[in-house]
Amino acid sequence: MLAACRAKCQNSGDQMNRLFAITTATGALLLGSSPASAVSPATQATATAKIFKPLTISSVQNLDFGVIVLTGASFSGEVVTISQTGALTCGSNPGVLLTCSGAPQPAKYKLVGTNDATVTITSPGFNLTGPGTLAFTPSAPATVNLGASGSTTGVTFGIGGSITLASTTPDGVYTGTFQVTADYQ
Amino acid sequence: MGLLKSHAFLFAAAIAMIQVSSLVDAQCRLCEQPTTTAVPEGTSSGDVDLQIETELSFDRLILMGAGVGAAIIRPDGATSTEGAVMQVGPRAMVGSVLVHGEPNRAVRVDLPRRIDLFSVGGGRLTLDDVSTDLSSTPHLDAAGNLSFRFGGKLIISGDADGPYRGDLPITVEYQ
Repeated sequence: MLAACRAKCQNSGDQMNRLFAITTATGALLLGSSPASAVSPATQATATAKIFKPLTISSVQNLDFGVIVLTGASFSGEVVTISQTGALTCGSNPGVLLTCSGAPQPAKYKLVGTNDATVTITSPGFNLTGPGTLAFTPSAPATVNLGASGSTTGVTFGIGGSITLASTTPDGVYTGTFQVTADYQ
Repeated sequence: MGLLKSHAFLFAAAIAMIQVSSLVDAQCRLCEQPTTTAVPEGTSSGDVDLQIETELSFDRLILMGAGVGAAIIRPDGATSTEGAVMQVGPRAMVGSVLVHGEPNRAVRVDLPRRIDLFSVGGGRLTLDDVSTDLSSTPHLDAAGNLSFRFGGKLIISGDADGPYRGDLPITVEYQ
């Protein structure tokens, strides 16, 4: 476009030639600012890391349902449950079908690790064995926060569980072993 | 003298035309029909931009004791540890970036070689040896795209547990 301008206006004389020589040079400068120097704005990527101390878990106490007496003549599907805090539920009709006594208690574990870190707890079901076999279903907290003293005194949490009894369940002592896994979330 | 005034006037006019390019355009429209061709859709405008596709994440690092250690994520995604760092988390991710601009253009990508990561409590870690999988002469492809990945070496010392975060500015320009 500038070249076309100059071609027509050169007829006006030397002074106009000089003027358009300047404007042509200006046009060249303007054309020189092409996208070849395009620069992206600085974009912030982020780098993240979470640093943890090693996590340790240790058993504090074993789970115990206490003593369960099968008092009903004929029944099945009676569930005995102990909560994570130790509250016992002795079947659907306590004292009639089942009688529970003794000193029931939940399992307890201690975690030590990084302060205020959240830890995921998993504990799969397993069998109690003895005169027969009883399926045990653990009841563990999904997560535990280690709190402000997680790296020193740590935190203790409970695991309860349940078993299902029938009048035909062989009497005797049943035992089993927990598999508890703790991992930083 | 009249000629001098005339020169001065012309020079002032020229300066005015330099400073206001739109006036030059207006004058030229008297000489030639302006062209108003639309830029075809999909044609690059000449800008180059970049998008962060994934952030660099070391996930969780287990630090044994209070010694010095390091966690490394290479641009190919491989991870390793040194010293007191026992383990890099399973969800660790290499950073990745998508650049878009004019097809087949050579570009230069600038990343800092070292940045600091900070925790809320004021702790500081250093991410060193920041590197990419870019070739020595990176080019946008025929579609105007270029993807690359970056990693680095996170150096950890002392009682440094907690979450850390740092910013890594990236710029791209045409060569």
